[in-house]
Amino acid sequence: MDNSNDFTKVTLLMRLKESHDEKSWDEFHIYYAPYVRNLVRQFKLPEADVSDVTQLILVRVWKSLPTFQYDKSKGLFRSWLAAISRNATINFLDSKSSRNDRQNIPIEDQEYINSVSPELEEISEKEWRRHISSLAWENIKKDLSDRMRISFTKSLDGVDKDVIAAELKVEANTVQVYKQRVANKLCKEINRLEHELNFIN
Amino acid sequence: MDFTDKLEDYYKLATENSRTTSLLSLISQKQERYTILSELATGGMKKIYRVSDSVSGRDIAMAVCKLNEDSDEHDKFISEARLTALLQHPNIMPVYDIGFNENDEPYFTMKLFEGGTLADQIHKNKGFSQVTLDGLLDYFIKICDAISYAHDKGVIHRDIKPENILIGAFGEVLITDWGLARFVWQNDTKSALMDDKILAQAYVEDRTYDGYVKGTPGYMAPEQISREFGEISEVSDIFALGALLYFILSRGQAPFKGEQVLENTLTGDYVPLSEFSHTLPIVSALQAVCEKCLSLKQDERYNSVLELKQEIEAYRSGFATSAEDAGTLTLVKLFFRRNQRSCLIVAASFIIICVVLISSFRNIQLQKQKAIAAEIETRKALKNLEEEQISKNKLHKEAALKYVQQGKSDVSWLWKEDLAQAQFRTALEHDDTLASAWYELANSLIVTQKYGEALEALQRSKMAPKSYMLLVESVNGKTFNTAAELITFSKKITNTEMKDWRSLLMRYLNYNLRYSVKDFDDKKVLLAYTMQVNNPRFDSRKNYKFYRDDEGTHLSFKNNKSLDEFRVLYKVYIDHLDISGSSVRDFDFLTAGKYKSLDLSYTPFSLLWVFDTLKRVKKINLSHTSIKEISHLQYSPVEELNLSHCKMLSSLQGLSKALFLKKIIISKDMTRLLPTNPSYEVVVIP
Repeated sequence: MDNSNDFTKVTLLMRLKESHDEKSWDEFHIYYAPYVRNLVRQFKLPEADVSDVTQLILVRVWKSLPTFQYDKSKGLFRSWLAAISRNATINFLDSKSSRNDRQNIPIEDQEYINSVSPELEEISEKEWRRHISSLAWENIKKDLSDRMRISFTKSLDGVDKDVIAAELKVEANTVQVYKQRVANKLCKEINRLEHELNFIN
Repeated sequence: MDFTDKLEDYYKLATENSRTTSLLSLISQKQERYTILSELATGGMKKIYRVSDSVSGRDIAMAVCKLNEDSDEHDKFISEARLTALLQHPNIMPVYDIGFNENDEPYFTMKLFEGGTLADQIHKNKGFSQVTLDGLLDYFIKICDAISYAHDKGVIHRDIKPENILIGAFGEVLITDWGLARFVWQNDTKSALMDDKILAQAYVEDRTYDGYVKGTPGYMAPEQISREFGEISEVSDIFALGALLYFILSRGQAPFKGEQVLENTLTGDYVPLSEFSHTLPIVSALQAVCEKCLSLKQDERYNSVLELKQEIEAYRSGFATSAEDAGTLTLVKLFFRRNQRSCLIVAASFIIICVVLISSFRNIQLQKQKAIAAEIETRKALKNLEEEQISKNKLHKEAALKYVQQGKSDVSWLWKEDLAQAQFRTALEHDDTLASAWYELANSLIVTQKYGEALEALQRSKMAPKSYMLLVESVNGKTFNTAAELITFSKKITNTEMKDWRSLLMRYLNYNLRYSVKDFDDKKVLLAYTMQVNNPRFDSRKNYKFYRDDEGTHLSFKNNKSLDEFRVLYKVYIDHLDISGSSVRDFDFLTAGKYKSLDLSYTPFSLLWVFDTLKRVKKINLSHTSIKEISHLQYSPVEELNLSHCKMLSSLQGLSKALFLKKIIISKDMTRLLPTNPSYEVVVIP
């Protein structure tokens, strides 16, 4: 996505909910699959199963997206996505361990969703933060000048600003300014993505 | 700690600092404040769009300059915007914001006006209804107010015409398109607006976009065509206002038109208003006002717009206009008209004296006449009131029709009677005189067996045949729970003069099969009847079975060739359905069913997406169907699947993902489609 778009009345998520077609599915996949995949990985499944379960979850979420209603008490879209991911993964594990005694707990069951453990909530929140911040970085990265990008990445990697300044042949202060400017851009993009991918009403 | 972890720190920073998605953060993003929603109009130099303003959260109009990057043109465009922005009057189009968009084209935003122009109003386009002369004069007075204000600020419009007067649905009047407007030098009272240097520069040089004829032929003053007639000044606008008044009085004619329009303007050659008097009531006072405005010589016109407005107001309160140059008779006539009441009292007193002197007979007659006159007056007033009401109700009427449409599609596609009833009721909140809404509501209420309410609605609808109403009246207060009662009532419906009984009956039987009848034997009877009503060739003794055992309810139409209308089974609770080899062609009715097993073999079934909606189905027989692919089955709870002899099926891909699939049945020729190591049991039949 191009980061010149700003906060819009109709968020990406709302748009996906409305135009429920193949193109939107691709977009949906791009923005949410990495997050779901990381959540599923928490259960230590073999990588082949991670892919299958991720796909299964995305398809199910996609199918119930048109009926998803934002409810303040139950949290944002992310919480819902996390709850479904968890339940679907557990279902999958159950069905694998005892093929004769399969139980199918409907994943959209609200009661079940509300019983998400605090620990899992913490993990899913952390994963979301990582997901959004990496996405934001990917989005702004390509529009940065080399000097700005290097100032930022090296600073984050803990390289001393004088060393960076020497490498880029600029003042140490300039490195500081570059870093701050990138940080500002990043924050802005994080806020935008948070809004676009999480808000629905 | 890796790079991603550090990036994550910024998430916290970002969301804490900005109070995510608060209004503040929304407003602080200046870029892309406006989102274009649709194009409203295109002119020579600008395009008008409907845009959404993310800051104020409302929809407004945006004019964008479409001329090339010539900065001169841009200057002029911005000048128009700034000039309009400085004119702040309730009858002048308000400008909100001026700027450059991402393509560096200048734009300005203004009020989004929903309505039409004065021309639309008079020609009754765009849903405008007829307006009385009085109503049109109201508009005219507001226009005069606005132009008078502009003149006071030293601005003349130069392009007053019906197309530049906007009229809203609630009587709002706005003058728009100040693209030709300019300042006039006034030595004594230098306009305060002239302090704006940019404006001053642009307008003193009299730069306008086209540079040739400035104004619209048909409405513009002769001096706008040839300077022989004098300088362009406020009285040029008065000429145009006269032309506008002409347009109003003649109900839609420009004073000058045709090929000779410019020549006619210069010679003052126009059709006198009195020529319209055989079809329109042309008031001589107003005709005179109009003629005075349209004088070729500037000093023969009114001196100011205020003067013109006062003339119109004088006419409206019953005084002679100065333009009329009234004689004694006219003045006496007007005196009487103004003082009608007093005159009548005097006349009445006089007649009372006569009564004393002559007889009481005449008195009675006069009273009668007065009563008639009063009645006529009242009727007239009522009629005016009604017309006003009609235009206000227009929006509600449109909304009501939409809700009725919505409700009708809710029942015809989704069979959702409750939802439809809510739609019809909303329609009636907007317009409780809408007969079709009452009628559709009544029908839906009958389907849900609320006969009492239905009867009321039928009475309000005034569309229902009498026999139908009598039938509904006879069952008022009852609720039928048995097949016998429901069938008796259904038969009675078919005997009324109700036109659309077939679809009503289908809804009625489907709804009550689903919700009212609890006893299984009763259900059996009702289902057989339902099938019979909708399928004339259906015979319940042939190829039809409906029974219940430990596994649930079974419905079988195996090899039944008499089925045409199958929608009546939509969402009817059946565990095991067998329509193999039957003549069913339309499979929509399967959607969202609660079937545990389905036998669709030997049918032309190909509607695979319905499996997305069948959440309980464990066993499906698709043998001898012409399905081409089965990807929709991968997230189905199906455990046993018969795909034998599906000749068109080219791949079994997708089945490996069906988590619950235990067994599939295929024919010998299909073994080549099997994966190397299937996760389900495979039964191969010849």
